[in-house]
Amino acid sequence: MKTVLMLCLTFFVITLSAVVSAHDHEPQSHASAPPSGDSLFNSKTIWREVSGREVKLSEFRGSKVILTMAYTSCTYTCPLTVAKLKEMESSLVAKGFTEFKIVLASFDPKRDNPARLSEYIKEKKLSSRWVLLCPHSNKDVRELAALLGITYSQDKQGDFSHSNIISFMDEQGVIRKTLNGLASDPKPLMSVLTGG
Amino acid sequence: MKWPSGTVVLLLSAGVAHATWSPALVTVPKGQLAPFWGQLQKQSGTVEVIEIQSFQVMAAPVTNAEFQNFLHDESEWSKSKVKRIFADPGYLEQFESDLKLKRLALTTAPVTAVSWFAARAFCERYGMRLPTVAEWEYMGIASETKANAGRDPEFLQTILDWYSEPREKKGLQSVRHSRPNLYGIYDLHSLIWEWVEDFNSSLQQGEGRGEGSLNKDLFCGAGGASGANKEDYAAYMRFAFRSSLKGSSTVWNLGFRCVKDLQK
Repeated sequence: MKTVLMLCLTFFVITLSAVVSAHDHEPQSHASAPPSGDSLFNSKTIWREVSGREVKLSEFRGSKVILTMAYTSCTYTCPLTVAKLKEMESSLVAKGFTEFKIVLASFDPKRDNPARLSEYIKEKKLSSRWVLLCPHSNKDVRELAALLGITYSQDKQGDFSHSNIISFMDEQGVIRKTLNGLASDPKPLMSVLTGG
Repeated sequence: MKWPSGTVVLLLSAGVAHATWSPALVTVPKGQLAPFWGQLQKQSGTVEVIEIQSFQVMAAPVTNAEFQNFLHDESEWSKSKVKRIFADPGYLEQFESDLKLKRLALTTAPVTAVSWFAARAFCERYGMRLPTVAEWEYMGIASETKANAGRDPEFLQTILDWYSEPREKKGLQSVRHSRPNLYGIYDLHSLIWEWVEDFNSSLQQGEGRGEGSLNKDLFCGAGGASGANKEDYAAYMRFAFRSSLKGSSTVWNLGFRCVKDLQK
């Protein structure tokens, strides 16, 4: 049912943008304009959603996104990251800002598959704003980390040590604000997100 | 017969031209690396060892001419077209325009002022990849005669001398400028710094994770003594240099070489 609704919605949006661009006499609608040079939408890394569908970062065009990296078998700081993100989410919703996504990209191509991430969503009771992404390869993980300024390495046991950086990515894929470390105040990031 | 480095071979098959490039590669045998950033094993008192698999590596860094050829095919990496997120404004400063080198830049000099993203795209184009930090350090610790010269004061001093020598920005020399090491690899230490795949490795390892501060095993005082080899100050310098970089950084004496996995 949900899929049908999404399809209808997508169709509607496509029709709408076609109508709009026809009116503007522009060769390309805004939605397909090439991303600016400083946009993460230029990245060709491939990820999978919990449904198994492949996604690229450019699919987040048009959404305000709180973006970070973690992995689900992590017992150290990742639960704190999720707690921090949830806190930010409720604080934004309490202020009436509901139109945003929280994207968590995994470091762990081996263990974090769609099934595992889908379980994690249930375990942590994550809302529909959350998008969990499974990496396609270590190469893609390395690239996204480099783009976000995240440093990480994997130890012999397969665990990752990584820096905790939470970024706000705007509708065009440009990073507007970052939170360095879990102890830092999330307010500046949230105020950039809400435009206040 | 041996192809000279930088040879571009055009293979014509079914009317389509494929540019294949055969750089001179050398095979590095498998072995172990006890890096200074390795974790000290509490029980044995020894440092964790990294197993290195055998791999092939370019005998010399990628040159300006070789990178020029790449730009002919992959114009999205040219100076005027590269996306800012992938390369800072200093990108390919030795190039006058998209495909033309400045007059004083040597075609045989190593390509520098390339970002990590560009270096990676180059290696990928030819079926190769950047070496890991561990692989690079494993190659870099070999002197002309020893696989592990990490405790050879003369070898370490030569590297440090290069690091401390004042350097003029113009006029990088051609590759293969010093003598090759044991494996036949040139220029690991005396010409440029080199990109590695995991330059953005975390400084924190294992138990240091929860603390949110820098790994005490890596820096200063008592912590430093727990590293594998505290004499190898040059390795610390390389680690510090890599940590200062972003993926889009370009530095006038930072280049790269590619490695190739052996068929299993």
